[in-house]
Amino acid sequence: MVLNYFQRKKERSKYIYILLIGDVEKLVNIGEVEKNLKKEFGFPTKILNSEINPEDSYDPMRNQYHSTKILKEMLDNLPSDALRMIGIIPLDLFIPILTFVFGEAQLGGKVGIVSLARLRQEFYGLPPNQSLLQRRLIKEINHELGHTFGLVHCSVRECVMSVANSIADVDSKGVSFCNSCRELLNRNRKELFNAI
Amino acid sequence: METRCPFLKEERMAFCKAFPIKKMLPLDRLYLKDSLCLRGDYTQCPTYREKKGDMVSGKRVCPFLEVESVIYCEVYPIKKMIPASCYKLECPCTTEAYIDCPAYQKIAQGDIPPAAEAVRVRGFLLDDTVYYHKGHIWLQRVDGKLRLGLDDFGQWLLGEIKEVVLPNRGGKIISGRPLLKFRCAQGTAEISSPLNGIVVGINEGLREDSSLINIDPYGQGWLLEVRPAKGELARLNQEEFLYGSNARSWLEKEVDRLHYILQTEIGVTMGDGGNLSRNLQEVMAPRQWGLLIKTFLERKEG
Repeated sequence: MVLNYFQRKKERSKYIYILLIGDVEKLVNIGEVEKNLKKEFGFPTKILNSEINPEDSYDPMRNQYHSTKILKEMLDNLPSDALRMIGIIPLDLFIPILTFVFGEAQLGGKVGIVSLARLRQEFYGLPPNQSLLQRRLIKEINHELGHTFGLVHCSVRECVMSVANSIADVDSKGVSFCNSCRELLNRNRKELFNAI
Repeated sequence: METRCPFLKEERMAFCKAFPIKKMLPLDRLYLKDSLCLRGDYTQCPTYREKKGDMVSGKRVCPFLEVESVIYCEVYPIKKMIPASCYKLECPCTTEAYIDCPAYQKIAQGDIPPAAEAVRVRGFLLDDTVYYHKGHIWLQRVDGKLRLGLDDFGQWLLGEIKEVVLPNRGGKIISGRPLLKFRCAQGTAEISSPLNGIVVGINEGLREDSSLINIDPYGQGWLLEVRPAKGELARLNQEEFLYGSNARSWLEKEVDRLHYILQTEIGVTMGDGGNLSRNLQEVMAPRQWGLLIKTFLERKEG
């Protein structure tokens, strides 16, 4: 009886997938990303190398990649045990109404994506800084996954859900959620957990 | 709070009724100068002699000497004297509206830091010194009137403004009724009035160059000036108008609302980064543009 319970529980397990689109592991420490996701969201993680071809979403006029199109591809190929999926891509992303995006996510949906392009110091003509890149990546992952858990942008400057129009904004916001965003995240996460 | 500006001064001024140019001098200064007008020998004054005609005066002071009380702004660099009898007229100096006067703010509250005048909120300019109506019209008190314009978000939504149709000067405007028509590259938008009043001025410069609205929405791109109907000024402090920090959080929510409306094929998505593309027509179909205009600008309620 006990065994059956755990077996059932295991079958019902859902994961936050980290989807690596391109040579991401050469640039960032994915182990640290996993550790952060477990701490902030409390779900187990799985890493997956993507088979998505980003060239399908390339816009030659802008020399950028349309992130919504990549999200659509991610959604079409979502593993059955994926509770959420966060993509990491080294390419520069955009959505039509914004000049660029650090990331994009479905509000209350399953998928989100973060671009490393503008998180790297090299983009701004500065020497590389690995720990800074890692910190920025974790902030943007928390931000985009926050959207998938139903959180909107927050006016508390220190909250990770505050908007970043520039890299300076990314650096000035905190890595975690403010009290009210955390409360909403926990409520939505609990509802989700009960629904599994 | 004071009900009149503390810099509004009242003084007794003397002037010559007979002399063609009305040069006003403070009455006490006239005494100090031992002026001819105050002495018995005013009869030697050429102007008196020219104008006296058959008038016989036994007075010790010149009968053409007139004294009147005037009011003026103590801090404004140009001293414009207004007869004190006009004091009962409603103007910013004689009502609580004096706190919005730039001259008062400069002296009483220190210089307004540039950052406080126009800040960027989610990529849009927000002038901290004006009131905002939820239909993206800004309002500013100017000399007892209200100046109206389109805010930065509003002009961004409209895109390239080819022509603006303004109401006639002297025309009555009614809250919630059509006020302005914008012909834009994507189509036409009609915007309703946020208040009741009379149009007392329009920005003539827009007839020549309507792109001023796009270029300088809070400055040269202003639209019209209105004398608000009775009680309308008090409405500025009500919920439908926003100011300061309330305006900032409202604008943030408007940008989020934009993302909600611009649903993609995978539903509502939210992006973090960048600024909004300046040219909406390149990224949006006319039908989608029309939906945005209807949602954000064409508010039917007041």
